[in-house]
Amino acid sequence: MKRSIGISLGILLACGSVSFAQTNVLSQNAVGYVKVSINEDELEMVSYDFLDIDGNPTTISDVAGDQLPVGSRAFLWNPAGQSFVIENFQAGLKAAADAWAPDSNPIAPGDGLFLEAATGGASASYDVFMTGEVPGENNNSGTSTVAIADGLSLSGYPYPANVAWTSTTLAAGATVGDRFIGWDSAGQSYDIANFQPGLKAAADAWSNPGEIIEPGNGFFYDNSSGGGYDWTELKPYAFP
Amino acid sequence: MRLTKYVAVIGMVASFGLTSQADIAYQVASSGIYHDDGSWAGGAWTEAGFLYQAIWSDVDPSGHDAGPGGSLANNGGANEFILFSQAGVQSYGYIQYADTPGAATQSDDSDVGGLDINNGFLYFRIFTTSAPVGGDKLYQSPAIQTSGLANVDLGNPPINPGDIAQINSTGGGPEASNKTVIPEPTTLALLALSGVMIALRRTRRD
Repeated sequence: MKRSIGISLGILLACGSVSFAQTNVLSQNAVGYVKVSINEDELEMVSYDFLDIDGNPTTISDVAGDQLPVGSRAFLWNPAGQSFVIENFQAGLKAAADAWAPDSNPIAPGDGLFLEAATGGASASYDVFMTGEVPGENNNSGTSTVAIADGLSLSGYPYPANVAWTSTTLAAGATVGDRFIGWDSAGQSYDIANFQPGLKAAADAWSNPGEIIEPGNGFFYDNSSGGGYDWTELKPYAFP
Repeated sequence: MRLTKYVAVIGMVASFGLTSQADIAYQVASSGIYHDDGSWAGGAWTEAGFLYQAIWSDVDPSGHDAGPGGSLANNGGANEFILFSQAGVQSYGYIQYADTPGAATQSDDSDVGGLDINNGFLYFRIFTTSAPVGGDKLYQSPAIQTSGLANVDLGNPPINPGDIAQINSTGGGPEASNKTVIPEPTTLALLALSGVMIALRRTRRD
């Protein structure tokens, strides 16, 4: 998978939600960001690895805001219908501001999506800063669960961290016939790894075991097991 | 033995035939239409709903008409298929379908009677009412050749979302209605018959 995504993850600050009751810290949150660069008329397959800071469900306006030109699109995935759900960044009618429509589809950590930058905007390339609360408690034992559908799921590693694809519990629990479908930004096409039967006495294995998932990367997972299940992943960092 | 060879040959032909499947995927919007006896700037008018259609034809449909209910009319026997037909509500008193739908229309050869969907014409109609009858106004878009749309493979998902075409049926700006729904044939026949009766009566009177 080509890494055209410029990534910069930082724990920026311990938020104002830090509260004290005498000497007890009641909550501690950290925010971070991932920067994704998208050329006009091109797509990037991303994942939003954060939680909405205000606690509301995350939608595309929280993810991309007004950082892309009018006419841009976001492609979310409907696992039940096995089809794309499209959010459109539209010019505001009359005096209204430009806005995403319908802007009602929730996006959770572990969800992937495509962002497409429209042509005709102010630039030939756009940096999209995806910001939010870093998921997880202040310990190193938390887990996140991502629903894997029967068939295709558009997903992402549910934490803003680098991970080798084969180190994930999703890859380790694969069934022969499953596919990891990444995105080749340069070619604007899919980049596919297959979970294949081992030859002779060899164990079943992924055809491209070197895949690295970086913060902000999305991918399709093609589950051929015949039923959906939950993918549970251990948080790879202690803080936050 | 000979029978087996026949079966094998037929099997090969069938598999070659399957590879010709063609598919298209598109989102469609409209920047708005107004009555041809009014104007976009002239202010709102007061009809509550509209009907929006996408139609595929195997020949250039420029001269084709619409019948009551959005039916096909005057198409000279062309192979035409309505790919989608949905009612909506107006914005600001005009027909403004600027809210691009959150789902793409996906069609394949089976939606056009087994013809090659990538080798025809796609056009759009916006009626000024959700249940058009003879005399109602509509806008019919210029036709686009489907050979210019990506041939997506719906049978091998996921498709590349970049291949979901964005089409603005009015070309990006407001357009006047440019056609009138023609009455259904029975209505036309009744009109013709009444004309004949009136003519006969006048002839007898003379």
